[in-house]
Amino acid sequence: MIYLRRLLSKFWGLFRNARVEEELEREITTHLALLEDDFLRKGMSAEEAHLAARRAYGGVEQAKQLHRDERSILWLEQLRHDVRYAFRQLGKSTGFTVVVIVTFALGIGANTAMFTLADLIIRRPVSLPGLDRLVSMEEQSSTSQDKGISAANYLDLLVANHTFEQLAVYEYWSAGVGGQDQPYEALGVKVSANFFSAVGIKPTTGRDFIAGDDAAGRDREVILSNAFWRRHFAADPSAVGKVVKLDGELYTVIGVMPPRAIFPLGAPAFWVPIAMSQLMRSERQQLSLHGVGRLQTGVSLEQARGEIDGIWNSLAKSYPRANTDRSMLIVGLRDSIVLDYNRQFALLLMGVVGFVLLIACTNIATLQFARASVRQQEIAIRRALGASRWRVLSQLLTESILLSLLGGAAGSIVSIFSVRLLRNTLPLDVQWFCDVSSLKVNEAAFAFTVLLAIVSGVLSGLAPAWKYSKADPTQALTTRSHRIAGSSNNRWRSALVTTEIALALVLLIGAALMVKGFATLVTGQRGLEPESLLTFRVDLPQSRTPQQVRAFQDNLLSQLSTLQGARSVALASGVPYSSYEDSTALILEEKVATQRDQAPAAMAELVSPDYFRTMHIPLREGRWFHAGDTPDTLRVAVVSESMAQRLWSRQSAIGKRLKSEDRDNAAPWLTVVGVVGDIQHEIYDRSFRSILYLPYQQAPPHSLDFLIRSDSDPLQFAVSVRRIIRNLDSNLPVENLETLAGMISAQASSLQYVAVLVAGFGILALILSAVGVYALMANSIAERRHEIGIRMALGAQKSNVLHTVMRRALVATSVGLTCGVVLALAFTRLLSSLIYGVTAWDSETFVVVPVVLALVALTATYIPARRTTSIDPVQTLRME
Amino acid sequence: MSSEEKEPIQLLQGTLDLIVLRTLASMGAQHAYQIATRLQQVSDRLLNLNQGTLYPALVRLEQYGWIKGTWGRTESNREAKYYAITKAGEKALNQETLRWRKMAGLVERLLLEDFQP
Repeated sequence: MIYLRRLLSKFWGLFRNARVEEELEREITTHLALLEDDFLRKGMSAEEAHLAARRAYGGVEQAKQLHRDERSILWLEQLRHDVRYAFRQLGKSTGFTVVVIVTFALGIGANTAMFTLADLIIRRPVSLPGLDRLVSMEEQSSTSQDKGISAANYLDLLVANHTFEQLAVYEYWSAGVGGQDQPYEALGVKVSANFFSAVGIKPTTGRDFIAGDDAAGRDREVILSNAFWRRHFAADPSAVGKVVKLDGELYTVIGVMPPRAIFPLGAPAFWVPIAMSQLMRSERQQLSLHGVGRLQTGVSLEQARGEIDGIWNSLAKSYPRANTDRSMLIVGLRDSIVLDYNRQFALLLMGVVGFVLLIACTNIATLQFARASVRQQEIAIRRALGASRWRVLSQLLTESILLSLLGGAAGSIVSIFSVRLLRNTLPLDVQWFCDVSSLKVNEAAFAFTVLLAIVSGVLSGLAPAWKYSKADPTQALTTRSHRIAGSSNNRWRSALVTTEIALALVLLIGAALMVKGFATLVTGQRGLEPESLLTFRVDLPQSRTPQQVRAFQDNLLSQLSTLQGARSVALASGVPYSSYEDSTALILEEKVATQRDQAPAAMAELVSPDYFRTMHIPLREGRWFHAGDTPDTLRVAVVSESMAQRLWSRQSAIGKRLKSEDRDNAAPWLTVVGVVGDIQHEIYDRSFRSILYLPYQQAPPHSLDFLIRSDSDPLQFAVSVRRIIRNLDSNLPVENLETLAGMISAQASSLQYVAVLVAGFGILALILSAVGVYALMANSIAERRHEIGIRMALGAQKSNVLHTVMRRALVATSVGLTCGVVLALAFTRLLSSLIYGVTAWDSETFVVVPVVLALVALTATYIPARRTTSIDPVQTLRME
Repeated sequence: MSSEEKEPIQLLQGTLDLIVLRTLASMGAQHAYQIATRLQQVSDRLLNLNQGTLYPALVRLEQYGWIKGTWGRTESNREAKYYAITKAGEKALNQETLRWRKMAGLVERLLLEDFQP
């Protein structure tokens, strides 16, 4: 307690040092005067008394220093001196200071920006209050990949649980937004009335849903996203109370959400209440909803799991038909969003940018060494005056940390701008794994910046500080050391440049491999020629009967095929690269030997007969579909090569029968009539999927992708396509009208974005290392000016001198390149195992990148070296 | 840390604080010179410490909050800082005195034992 008090008073003393010092002076003066009086009284002469008083008192200065040491926090006091001194030193060499601060600012700023992004993706993908208490809740079936929660099970859990403060459900709902102009499809969400209070956000204008809003018949209310509100109501607060037309129905606007912190992900445009009909309330089969719950304070995830498991068991007993084979999966909301894949990319970017900072630190260390010639003298004097080595070391480190902190401050500004840039340029699909709107430099990022600045200050300053502080005072004072630049100094600097080149090479090779690998992924399937394919999506309202759907589709297909320049037209329930997903569990007529836990499954694709021809999918065996496959004929299927291989490896697939698994066992048997070539479905797929093609005539889907293969630029059809559809049905929105090539690059946009970032960091590394080599050369030449002058006076050839001067930098560079290649080999192996699509070895990259780096380093060496030839021997000798 | 090395009798760590506190407790407010003089009288010049070494002890005690300095005038009309013991100082003095007695007693007993056999 009293130590705390003392510390406080010491701390207080820091701010009134001058006054304390002055008081001490007065106190001592009185003390000496009183002593003197005393001695005078004893009969001494004035002079004797004065001396005697001094003797009795002891050293005045020592006493003062003891007093100071006692009253202050010693290290803080020293730090204050060091900082003040450092500022003076840095002020003296402005050029050096500016270069170092800019380097630090770029390195630290880039790191903070990437940290902010990684923090968003990994730690706070959604900005919801009390995120740690939010969980996602989904039923998981052991027989299919479907996930979600059924309405009836949700309602039962809602009543029975005691561990959740709130338990809500939501469901994504794409709806056509009607209007005077072009109708368009927008993503919205249907939510239970307690949804916003569960996730902890609420409208800023208007009101939240209230209990009962989600009852059937009362659900024609909508809460708008900020963006939607701006777009349709020009941010007019009186929008509340107006109506919006969604999928042809009128909804009353009751509220508007804030621009930031939105849930669920995907930047929805609006939220409407889930209309729970009586039918829906008893639905246990369909897993159409997603559950999100807020745990009560103090309840752990485990406790909640325990309770829900108990309730689930009784639900499974009461409703065995629906609920057996299923379990309730409860995970933290964050964990349900943050996928390994995203985590890896985020960490990869941080790693890359960390490399850049390491290179920057090496660079700065080189610059610090370059200042050796100026500083050595000064340090020697300090040492000669009695400063301990530790004192000098800490002084130099203080200087270095001060620089890095200044750099960090500048870096914060850099990071704020870069993060703003990131927020505006991040590809759209990023919003599916984090809430991009809440991306900003936050307190965590600020703390990270400060920490990073201190670490890089130590990192860049330790080696030079260690080296200088060793300076022998006597030697440095007697010889003009800067003329005969110490060879050990040069060794250090060469080692740093070697390190820098090696690091830069590793980074550049990694970047090149990533860029190249992603480019390969993005070109898609060989032979597909996606740039001559036009695709668009049409969603028909669920209310249409299969006959109506069929009629519409046939009509549209035949109209499209009459378009001038359309080679073929087709439709499919989901074309490749369109994020279409399906997994259908299958029953085979003749059992095959697969593992029990791996029931056969495939992705079902409903296609028109011309689909294969349009997509350039080759026929391997049997036949394609044709117009004769109708609901009244034999139910047929065509399977992909991989599927045939997986299910009936040795035998021919033709004639095999299979059907989709369902509880009623009512699905019809399908006969395989053809085997077709494999096709990539997603750019991230590591192997070909099992695809089960079904003729659309036999089961017309409501949601369809159309394809037009064209001889020339397919986008020329865009206008005609819209016109044709408007003539067929003026309320239908046309979605994703694009070339397939465009779809592929949209799907790859995140990858491309990462590639661009990594390439950018690679270029930054290249520039930094060029600066490093240049600084090494320029400085060593400045140091050896005198020596070169003498050599030239003695008759050395210019080319000879040039060679001598450049040799060291060349050696450093080539050693760096060699080490870099070896390191890169190890590094890229790791990279390729982490990131799909990146190869560990690529001969072209491993040749081209080192050559480019070598050329850059050579140029950075040659430019300053050329200056030696202009050295006038006479002038240098005269300087002696 | 603040005791002088050249002294014939070296002060034990922390004892200077105790002595200063004791002096102020019995004599009332004193300035540094008075305290130093008093120490010399009491110690019979055995403890001939440099008077300057008193200052760190004074600042330490002040920071603990055990004594408090106020500026005043001496009889010879010189300005001087008078130190007085505070309430907390008196409490600390009692504790320190007890501790010192225990310590001294213990050392004494040990020394006696050592010489007996």
